Amino acid sequence: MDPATILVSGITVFMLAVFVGFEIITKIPPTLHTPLMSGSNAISGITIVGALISAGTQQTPLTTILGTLAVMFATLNVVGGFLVTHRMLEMFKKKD
Amino acid sequence: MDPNLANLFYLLAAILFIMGLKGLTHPRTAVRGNQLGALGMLVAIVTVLLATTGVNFVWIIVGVILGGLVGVILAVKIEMTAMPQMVALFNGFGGGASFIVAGAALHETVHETVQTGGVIHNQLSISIAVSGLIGAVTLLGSLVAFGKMQ
Repeated sequence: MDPATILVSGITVFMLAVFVGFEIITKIPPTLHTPLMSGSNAISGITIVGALISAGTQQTPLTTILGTLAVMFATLNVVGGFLVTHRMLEMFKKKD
Repeated sequence: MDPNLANLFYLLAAILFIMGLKGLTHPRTAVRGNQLGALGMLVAIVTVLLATTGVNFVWIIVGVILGGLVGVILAVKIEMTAMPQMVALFNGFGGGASFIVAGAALHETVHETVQTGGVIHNQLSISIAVSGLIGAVTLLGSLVAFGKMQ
């Protein structure tokens, strides 16, 4: 595919995602601010996909080292993020 | 895996993320929302592992085990009152990962271009620059936030 076409379709997805994100998080009760922040942080760990590709494809030794480090950080972000969010929500449940 | 099939699974992951975030905005659906987000992440990770050809799993497994272990320990051991700075720290690690991925992509692209004598497309240079910038801001900003809250 033509590089310009790829760039435009990337920008299209990006802009649509901006609006979807904005529409979803409006009108949220204040008690859920922290869990939502934590949950969306965990989802931002999707960068793990790029990290996995870098670590696995072994283009050069440097990309493998960087990739492995990135996989480690991203997994920490994903696992920790979802677990912490779950703990927060459990706490809310006990209060009710 | 067929690239088109992989893209459909990525779409499924994105839909799960959106539904997960939507769930997190209501008290009654919040737990389910978080689980949907985690499921989306699982779908995305399994898809990328099946879709990328010639993957060496050794380093991936090393990274996942180390990161997962530290993540679980931190998330379970942390005091409830220390949650906000923990979230900041996790966020910082995610930003750090983005920053490193951008660095690896840059190195890979330059390496390839030098070998083949081709040109680097705008798509790549823009996404690498933006990803590196956002990753670095996230990492340093989150560390400062962690330090202020601790």
